[in-house]
Amino acid sequence: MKKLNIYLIILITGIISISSSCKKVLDIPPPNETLSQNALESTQDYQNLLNSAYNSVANALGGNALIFNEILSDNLEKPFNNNDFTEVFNHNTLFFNGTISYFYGQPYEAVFRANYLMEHADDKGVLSAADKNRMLAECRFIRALSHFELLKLFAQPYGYTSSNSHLGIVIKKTSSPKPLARNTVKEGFDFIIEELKYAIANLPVSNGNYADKNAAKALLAKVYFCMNGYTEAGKSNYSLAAQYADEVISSGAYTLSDTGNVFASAGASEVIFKIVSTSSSDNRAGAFNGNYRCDGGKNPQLRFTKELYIMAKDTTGGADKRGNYFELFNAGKENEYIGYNKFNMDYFNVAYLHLTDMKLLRAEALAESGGSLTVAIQDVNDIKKRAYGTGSTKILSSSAVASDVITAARYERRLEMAGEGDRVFQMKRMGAKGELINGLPVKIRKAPWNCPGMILQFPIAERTSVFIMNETGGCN
Amino acid sequence: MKQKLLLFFCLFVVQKAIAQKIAGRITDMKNEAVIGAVIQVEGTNYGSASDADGYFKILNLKPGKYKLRVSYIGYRSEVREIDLQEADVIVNVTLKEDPKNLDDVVIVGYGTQRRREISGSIVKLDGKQITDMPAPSFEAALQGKASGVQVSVGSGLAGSSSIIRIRGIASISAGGDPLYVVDGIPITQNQFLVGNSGGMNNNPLASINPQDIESIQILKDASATGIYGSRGSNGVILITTKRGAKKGFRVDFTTRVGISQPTAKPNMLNSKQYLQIYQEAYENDGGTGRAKLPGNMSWELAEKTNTNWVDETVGTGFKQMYSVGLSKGAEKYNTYFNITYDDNGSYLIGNSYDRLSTRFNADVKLTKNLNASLSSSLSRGINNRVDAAWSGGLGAAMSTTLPIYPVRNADGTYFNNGVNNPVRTRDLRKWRTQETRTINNITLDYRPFKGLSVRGSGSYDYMDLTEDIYEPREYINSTHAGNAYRNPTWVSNYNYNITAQYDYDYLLKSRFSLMLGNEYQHSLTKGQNISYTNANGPVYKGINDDAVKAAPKNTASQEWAFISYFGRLNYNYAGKLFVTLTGRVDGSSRFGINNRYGFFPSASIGYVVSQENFIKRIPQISFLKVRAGYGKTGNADLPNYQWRGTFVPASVAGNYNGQPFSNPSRLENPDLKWETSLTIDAALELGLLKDRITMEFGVYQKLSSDVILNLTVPPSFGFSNYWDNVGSIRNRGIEFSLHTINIDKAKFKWTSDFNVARNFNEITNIGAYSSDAVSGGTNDTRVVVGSPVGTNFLVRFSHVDKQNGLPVYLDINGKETYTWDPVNRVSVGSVLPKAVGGFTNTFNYKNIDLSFLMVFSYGGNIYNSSSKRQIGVVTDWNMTTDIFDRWQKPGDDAKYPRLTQNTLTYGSTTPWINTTMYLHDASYARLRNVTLSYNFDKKLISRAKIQTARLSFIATNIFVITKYPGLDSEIARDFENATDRNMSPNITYLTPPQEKTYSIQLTVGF
Repeated sequence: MKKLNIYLIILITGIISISSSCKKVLDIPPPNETLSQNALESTQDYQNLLNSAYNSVANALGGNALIFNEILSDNLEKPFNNNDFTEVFNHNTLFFNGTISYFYGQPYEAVFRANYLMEHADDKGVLSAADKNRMLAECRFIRALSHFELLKLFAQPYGYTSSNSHLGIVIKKTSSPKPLARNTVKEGFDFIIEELKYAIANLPVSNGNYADKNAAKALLAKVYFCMNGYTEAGKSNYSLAAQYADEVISSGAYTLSDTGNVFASAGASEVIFKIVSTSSSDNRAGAFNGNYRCDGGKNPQLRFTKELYIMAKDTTGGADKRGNYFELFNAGKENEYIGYNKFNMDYFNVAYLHLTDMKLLRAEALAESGGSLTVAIQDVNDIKKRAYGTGSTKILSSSAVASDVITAARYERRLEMAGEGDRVFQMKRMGAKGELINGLPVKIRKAPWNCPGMILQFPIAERTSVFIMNETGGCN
Repeated sequence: MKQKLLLFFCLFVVQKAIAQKIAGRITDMKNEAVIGAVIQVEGTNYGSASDADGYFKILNLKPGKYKLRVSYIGYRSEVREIDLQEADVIVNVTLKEDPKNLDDVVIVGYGTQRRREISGSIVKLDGKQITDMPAPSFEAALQGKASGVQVSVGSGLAGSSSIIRIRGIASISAGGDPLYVVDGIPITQNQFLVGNSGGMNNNPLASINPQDIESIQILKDASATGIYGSRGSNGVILITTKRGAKKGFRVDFTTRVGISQPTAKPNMLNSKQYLQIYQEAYENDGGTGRAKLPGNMSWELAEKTNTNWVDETVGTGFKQMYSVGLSKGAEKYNTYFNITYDDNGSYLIGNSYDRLSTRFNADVKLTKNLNASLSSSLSRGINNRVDAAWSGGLGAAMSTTLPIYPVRNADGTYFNNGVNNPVRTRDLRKWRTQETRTINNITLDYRPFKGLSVRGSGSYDYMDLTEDIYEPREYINSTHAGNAYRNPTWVSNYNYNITAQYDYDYLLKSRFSLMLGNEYQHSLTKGQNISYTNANGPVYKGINDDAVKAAPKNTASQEWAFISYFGRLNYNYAGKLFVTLTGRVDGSSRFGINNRYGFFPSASIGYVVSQENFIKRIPQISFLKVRAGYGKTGNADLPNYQWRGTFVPASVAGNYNGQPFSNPSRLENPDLKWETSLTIDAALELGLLKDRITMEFGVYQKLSSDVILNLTVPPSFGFSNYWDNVGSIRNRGIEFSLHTINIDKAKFKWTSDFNVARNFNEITNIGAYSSDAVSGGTNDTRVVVGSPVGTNFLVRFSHVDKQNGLPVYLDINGKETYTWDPVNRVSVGSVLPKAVGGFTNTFNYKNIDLSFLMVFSYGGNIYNSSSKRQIGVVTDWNMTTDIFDRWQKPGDDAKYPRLTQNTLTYGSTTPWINTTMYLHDASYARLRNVTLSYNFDKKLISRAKIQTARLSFIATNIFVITKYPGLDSEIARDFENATDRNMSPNITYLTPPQEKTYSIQLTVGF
């Protein structure tokens, strides 16, 4: 029996000694990767994380966010040979559309990274109060921008239903990997407004190439602008849009450029928020020059309509500078097409928020909300003078009425922002507002503004038991 | 109760001094102790059971004459008459084995048990059943031999791996293969060490020499696998290697030579047929004149050329095997040595698996109560690789290499117009993988006193898998001599375990056996990529001095560890009632911090009813046992590190705005853990007519939850993939096996073995995720609640419109449509068969043995994923002659639609669409193996000092009966990952068919 005891003791001590060290034994970290708990240990680490969220925003905005909007509109012809784009053009997208699928993930990736930062801002107490305040405000801006761009493409516009209870997108407020149901469009816009107000209050006046106070204000102006029927503290959405646009313009931080090409360095003085390209090997505007570029024998994927071409080449009020962007190739031949040379550059910044947009927005918003027509007329004429010259017959007279201002602002907007995906956004706004064109509800090409296919189908991976997919097609 | 026991014990001890006793020892024919034999004094209540050394004693009997009956399962009962007077009586009894009983020793986890005592579900196969059949790798030979064990034999590639599923499939993204344990160590069994290269996954089992295998035990239910805890739920395969004979010296020599041919050849179009089809498609699309041919071929040259690329890539493979085994045994030691050379050529030209392996096993009795054993193997497997499937070779011959292309240009150079010319690649590019592997175990077994044994065991499994590729100047059009690549992978895997077992007899008929143990296992995989430019040849031939070596790149290492504590309690009552309880605690580096350790218990009971008198009265029933078990097991075969939250460092991630960024790459999942299976199992074992008929009938249900999914998460999560325990799967099944001795005459004997198992597999839950959240590669197998794992999720093809020749699909509501839309996909088929089984017949007539094995599979589907290009839109792929049955003019009732080169004709923007047009019934019956042997007359050969000599003719895969129109009705493809392997086994994509072999084997024993 003595022997047994000895053996048992040896065995038990052996097992205990192994057990006591086994916590370590099982603690095997992955090679070549930073563990999350060691990833955020300095202000620079946080800045790097924030920069990664901007990088995702850049992938979205320099990618197909604005391109998809343009393809949905009546500005473009059928894409040359890209099947995924053709689905968008035909207003009938399928859930296997790889291009949409890739794009859709980008804004949410930005949101995830912003959420992650917000949740871990206090982890190790390394951030100063000022840095933390700024970073959180930037995160909120990124969340607002990302959700806004998704809502534009994947949900019917504000005003599609009177209560705006129609389905919007998933609002992601945390990094938690939990399948969520879609929020309503109203919830989506409420969230965006709340985020932007926080950002406006906390962002610095100037923040290099990153989001600042004016960027948040400009974005909020655009958000209000499309919210037909919305009121806040007795103010209409147009009045609110005009107010924020006005704050941006009157800040004096931006001046209209001579050329009006906000994507080129000559237009840099107008840019409020942009996606930054630093060199031809770091071109973040790939979707623009990749799809529109028409020099050097390049066969562009995206070609403009004859209608827009004729509009831009109209000389009734003097030659339109913007007509120079449009080029007719293979004239008269079967393969004739209209190219757009605005993006014929190896690399450039993507001007997401800019002064031309703000001025035209303020003009229209003032006219819509009964605000100062003097300011509105001046805004429109600033753009017109640049396009046609100061003596043009197209300049609005000081006696122009609100509807004249609105018509003129929209005309200039279509030409100024051709290629930027603005057109369909405005047409949906007009549709939701109940405007009639030639006595009929707004149509985009032949498709009603609110037909199912005017918004994109979600990628298949988004489908869960709680997530309802969009309808497809139904536009012909 | 306690007091009563104590009282009894006291009386026992007190009376001992004054009473006579009957004592003795029970041994078997080998003079080894029989433990637990029941000794009964007939007509009294007195009795005993033999202890761990075979001794027994019976006290307190009054003097008189008695009959002593000694019985033990598996042995014939013996009766001794005793005349007990004043003196003690010593009775030693030698029990003879009862041949009608199947009572051999079965290896269970961390120990052995007699078959009858087992209350779990275990199948034992002898090594002979594995070695007598040439196979790409030993596991293929398990097919059809055990009920509930589905084996899909690997493709015709040398060394290819089979897929083994025990009782269905309970995993989706985690590995679904059983755990392989060789001589005590769970070996490295990762098929994805080098991913999917050249249309093949590396098969780590191919380096194991079948000649070394003594036996294989397949552990199926929770009671049997419970001792493997978190790694047991997909079953466990225990491989035991041969050991030296107890006595004497023996030499065994085996040689086998044979040939390999494909079981079928693809029916590709010849040049004339292809051109005709191509032109017809062009004209159907409104083309005029002659169509522009692929590969910039001119019609003139195309019409002159007619290359049969299948014949260029397929030939007759040659196989040869030589094996020498030495076995020596003496009182204090026994040793076994084997050396085997096996050159296993496949029918694919240039492809072979060439294995040289040695083994040395030894057992030494160091002292009276200390034994040591060593098992050690060293093998080198060289796989001379060729491309297959999507990568080229025969795959190219079946797809992009057209009959209008010549092998060589007029000037003698290889034809290479941007087209994969498989002959050029094979001739110019040198490619081989070499696997050096050693699996070793050393065990010390100490029995300090009766009843206790302590075992310490350490094992080491090391693998060096080195891939060598050489691409000469002519292949890569370089200005230098060529590129040489060497990609080594090293896997170092070791474990130790300590177990202590204590056997205790309680009163007369009860025996307890308690085993407790602890185990630790650690595995580390490292790898490198080394490349040279200006190399004159592959690295293994020695690199020239002027070759330029690039800095080697280390591949990401993989490291994991398990630490475990386990125990088993066996209870044996009177040799007829057996209870087993097991429990294991497993901790693993793979489990999230919130679930570091899991506990896995099991319980089972077995009752040999035939030991009872009421059954003994029925002469027809020779054996009847019922057993049932319940337990919880797990599957921990998930990738390492996945529970950890990680960041991509700024140095790697990139820049935005000229500033570095760093982002979370994986979200922490601290709850990630094993998959849990709750298994209930019941079976009835029956022997009739003195065991001429034995059968086993079993039922089981395995409910698996926390099934691990590698989720393609909703993109709104902000990242794309996430490993989580989400799903539930239910497997239910019935198993039946039957062994009959049909004729048992002196000169002629005929035995049959039949088994069949039916499994019902269903995904019962995948959380909130959609059927597309996990996909089996590109093959449109999906996770659909209510359907089996790997259901084919396809758009339904209805028919070809007789008027316009267009394909008509069905939408989700069954309405006909010309448009292919993924929204209309439905769950239409299953790659899992409903039933699988095997039927073996063995005839012995005088010196001649004949056996054949039929295997069958019923109710599964095959999706022929290459058909969409071989019998679909006319492209730069060659097509099969099936396309002849196409629509050509209004009114045609054709199987395939009108030819077109425009995918829009078939309602899609891409030719890569999957429909039920290519989904087939995969039921088959196959004559897997026929062996005809002649055993030389012992008298004759003994003159040459030969003990045994046997000459066999072996043929495999002779024919198959199936409705499947493609190459092979049984498919184990190349896979991208474990999910693909679990979900898309019976999907074929240019997969080479299995081989058909004919061999002659000579076995001689000296």
